[in-house]
Amino acid sequence: MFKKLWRIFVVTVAQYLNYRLSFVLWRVRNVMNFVLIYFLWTSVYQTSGTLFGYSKETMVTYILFSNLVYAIVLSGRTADLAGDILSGAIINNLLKPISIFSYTIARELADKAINVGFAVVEIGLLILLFQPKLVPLHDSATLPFILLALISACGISFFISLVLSFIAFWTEEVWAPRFIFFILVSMLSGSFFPIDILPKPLEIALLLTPFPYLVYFPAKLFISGLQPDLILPFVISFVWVGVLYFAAKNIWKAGMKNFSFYGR
Amino acid sequence: MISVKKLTKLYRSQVKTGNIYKDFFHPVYKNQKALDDISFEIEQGELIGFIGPNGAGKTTTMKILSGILYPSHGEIQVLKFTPWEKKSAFLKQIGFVMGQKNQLLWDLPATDSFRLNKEIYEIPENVYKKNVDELITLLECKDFIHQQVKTLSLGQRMRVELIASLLHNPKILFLDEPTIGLDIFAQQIIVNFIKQYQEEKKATIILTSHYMQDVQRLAKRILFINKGTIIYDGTLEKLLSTYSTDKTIELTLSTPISKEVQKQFSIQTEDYTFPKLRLCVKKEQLSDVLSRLLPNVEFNDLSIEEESLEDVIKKMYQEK
Repeated sequence: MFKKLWRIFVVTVAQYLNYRLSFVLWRVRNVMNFVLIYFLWTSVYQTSGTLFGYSKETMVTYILFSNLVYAIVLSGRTADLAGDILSGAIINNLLKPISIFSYTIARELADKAINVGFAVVEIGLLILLFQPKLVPLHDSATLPFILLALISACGISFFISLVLSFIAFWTEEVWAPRFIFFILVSMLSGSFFPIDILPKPLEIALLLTPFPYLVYFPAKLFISGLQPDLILPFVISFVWVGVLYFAAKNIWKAGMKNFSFYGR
Repeated sequence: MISVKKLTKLYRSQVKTGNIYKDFFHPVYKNQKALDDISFEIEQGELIGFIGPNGAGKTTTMKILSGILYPSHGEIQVLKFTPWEKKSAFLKQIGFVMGQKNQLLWDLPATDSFRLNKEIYEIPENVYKKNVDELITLLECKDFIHQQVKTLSLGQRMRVELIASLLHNPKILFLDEPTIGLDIFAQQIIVNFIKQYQEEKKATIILTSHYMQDVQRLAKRILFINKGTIIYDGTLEKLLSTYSTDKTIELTLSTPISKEVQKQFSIQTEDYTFPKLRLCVKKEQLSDVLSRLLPNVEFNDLSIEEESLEDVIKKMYQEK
């Protein structure tokens, strides 16, 4: 099994190298995105040393780390599946003795490996360039928990993205829902600001949705370390992984039965 | 090996009424029968030609047999498996080549697709090496397997598609119009290859094609399908002898024929452009027609042709 996944991984990387320009531009977009948020926050902090309980250093550290988390969690190949279903190319996967889930996960990992590699280099360069003051990792005992939160974040993002792609079994209009998803992610996941600067009721409501667990939760662990009330967010994020996994699995099954591939 | 009993497949599609409000809020659907209660059996080592017009249900049948589609009703067993359960053990024993679809990694050389398939189908290294070498030689692909698939011509691509689908020695091979759009040379290579491969490996092959020469050269048994039902299942020879009822007389005249002769033999205008004359007659009337016609015409050349498979098929399309 490992050899299969490894081969898919290698092939996906090789495919990436064929489209250098798109990839470089995608990374440029991410860097610009980061620079924008960085300047936004530094100008906000010009008048005051602490805002919403965050010092400038903590906020910049949060923004930098959340950028890395974003690269890990939200990069992926699952969006391709929608096009494959619409064009009928998905038939190739159906004929192969490997489940669509394993196949996509291997591709997803390749994608993440490449994106994370680049994100690390970019963030390194940005740190050199702007020389911001940063806060160090709160406590090394947090690391395993950050890792766990990241894995769960990847799970949530993977299964949501799969579900969004499986919509293609029923309609050709697959991009509108994905677009809305990305708007929600940019507003609610914490990639622009930490969720806890919002009013308390709103924060609590948001923490019940899957979005904050994509970026905010792992990034917050980095800057604040272990808190006594960590069990509940972990439980909620695991529940979301489970729920979305079953949703994706059943929607896939239903889609397979429903779809005709008529003339495709 | 393949057993199909009372297979029916319905496709649901929306009927657009033209009323935007109604179409959006109260869509009307209709069920269209792509396959209507068909049954057949296929034994190991058979090479079946699946023929029929576009939309007859050929590809749908192959997709159900290979597990891509779910049937609406019916019992299907392929290699003792239920295809749409998509068990690994089943998928490892079948191969599917689609002439209209690319199955390889588009932006990488074909060898990358071969390697990927090797791992996915868990083909042992020695078997893989042997198969790749053999297939590359048979299909004359050595020169372009290291080229990106997207840069290959259609004929080259079909050949590497075949290799990718055969690396795991499938027991059943589905070929859906493997020669579509190919020039005669590429077509020839593929047809010869299929023939040779089937003879050597005794694989079961199910082939669809709109080129009757392909079918005639390859298939011993024909399944003729039209509007979702099987209208003929049997050998090619029997099909021709049953349905080929006419012969065509072709004459190259030296002087034009008279109006009377034209009338007498009810020659249509499209069949007569001096000096060519075509006359289609029932087999049993051939000698009678000839003995009456020949004294009335002066000609340089005469030939009597059997109906081609195409003609027979055309007649069958029209009859049913």
